[in-house]
Amino acid sequence: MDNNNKITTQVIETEVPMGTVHSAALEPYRLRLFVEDEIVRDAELTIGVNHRGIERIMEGLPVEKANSLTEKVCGICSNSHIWNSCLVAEKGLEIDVPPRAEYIRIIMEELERLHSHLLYLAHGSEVLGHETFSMRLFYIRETVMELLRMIGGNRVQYGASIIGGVRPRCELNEMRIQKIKEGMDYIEEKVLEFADRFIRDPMVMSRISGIGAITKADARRLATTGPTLRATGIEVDLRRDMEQYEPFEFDVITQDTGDVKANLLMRVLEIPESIKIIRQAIKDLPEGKITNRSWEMQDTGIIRSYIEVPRGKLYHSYKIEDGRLRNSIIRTPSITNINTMEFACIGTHITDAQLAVVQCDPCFTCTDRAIQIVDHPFRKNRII
Amino acid sequence: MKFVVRPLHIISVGGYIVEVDFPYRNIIVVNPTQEPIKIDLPVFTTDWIDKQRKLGLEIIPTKDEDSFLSTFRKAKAKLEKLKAE
Repeated sequence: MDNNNKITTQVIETEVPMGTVHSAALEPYRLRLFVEDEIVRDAELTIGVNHRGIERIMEGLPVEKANSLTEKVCGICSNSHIWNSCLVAEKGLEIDVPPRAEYIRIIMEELERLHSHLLYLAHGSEVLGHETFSMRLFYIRETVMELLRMIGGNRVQYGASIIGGVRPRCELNEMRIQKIKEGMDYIEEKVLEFADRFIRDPMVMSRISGIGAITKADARRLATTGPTLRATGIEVDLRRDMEQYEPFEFDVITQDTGDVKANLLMRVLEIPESIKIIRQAIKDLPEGKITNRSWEMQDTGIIRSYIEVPRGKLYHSYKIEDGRLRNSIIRTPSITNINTMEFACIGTHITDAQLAVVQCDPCFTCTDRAIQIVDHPFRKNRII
Repeated sequence: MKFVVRPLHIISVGGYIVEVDFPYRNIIVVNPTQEPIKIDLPVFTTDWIDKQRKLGLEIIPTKDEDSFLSTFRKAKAKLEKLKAE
């Protein structure tokens, strides 16, 4: 008797590649999804196509110049990079930063957190296919961008921090303080309205609940950082340990499920906390100078500095020799979160894989660290 | 995560080290072959070095007290020589 009626199973393993350049991805990265019955069984994320290494370019540059170069690492958290880079020098050279400058730095950092989180929410909504939410969020974000432009003179690279304080351009007068206050009121009202609308939408909730879930144990194993880690229920926020944040009261937000919903809500709920910090900083803004120029350059050993930025823990380290920078290292939070992105894809339906990546708030430009230089006389583009 | 090291190319992966219990400050990675090679990142343990060497890459770890710049320049000069051949 033949066995034609027997059920034979065949495992079909299909690979679905995305990128390096893909319409669903904002940045150049390659995502390979290994799929079985439309369920992702394994994922591989490749970056490096844009890598040139800003640390290498920083080698041997005068410290002030190298610090301003760090701002070019990322277009979203440019202030975080220059702030941390200045903190390294200030630690090594034992420079006291005036309290007013510390407060202005905090205001800039929290404004940056606001625009980064709003960008995340807008991009997340776009990936969800909800363009109305996305456009509304970009519209709300515009207020923060304008405040940053007002203080720093630029919308992307504000150059607020310098060694010993902040640039004179960033001094806050009464008019600017009033505009920040009005901006905070507006953002708080609009974000809470958005959150209410977002949570009450059953279509959106069903699309994001339980997708790309990461457990506490997995987050620890994968060295996850920032809001992505807090979305799993682990209460770790470096701002709690930073002396710059000591005068301010704020809550560390956590969620329990570690899925897309938890990650989106994390950012929504962190926005009022940032607004709270900005309001406190404005209310108690100390009087006095904003730059300490009475310091001397000297050689230092290797100095390390960690700060909490919108995506997690940012690490800058270098030493100073003859006023020049040596042995520089920058570690962005996205690099430690990339393994989490791969892991979050596994087990999801193929249509949710991109959402699982986006939930970790990736910034591949900051991870690859490429900058574009335009040589003016010849108009030649050079990526370094 | 994978990272592409282009053929006859040199990079340093210091920013990709998660420095929990890792003795080196920076790692210079040289691809002396004519093929792009994918490496695993981030770096968590010293086993990573042997694993990547097996792929045909030249791995030069540097410590806090080493001069990163001179080590990088030496490796780069060696690579340039190889490129010229």
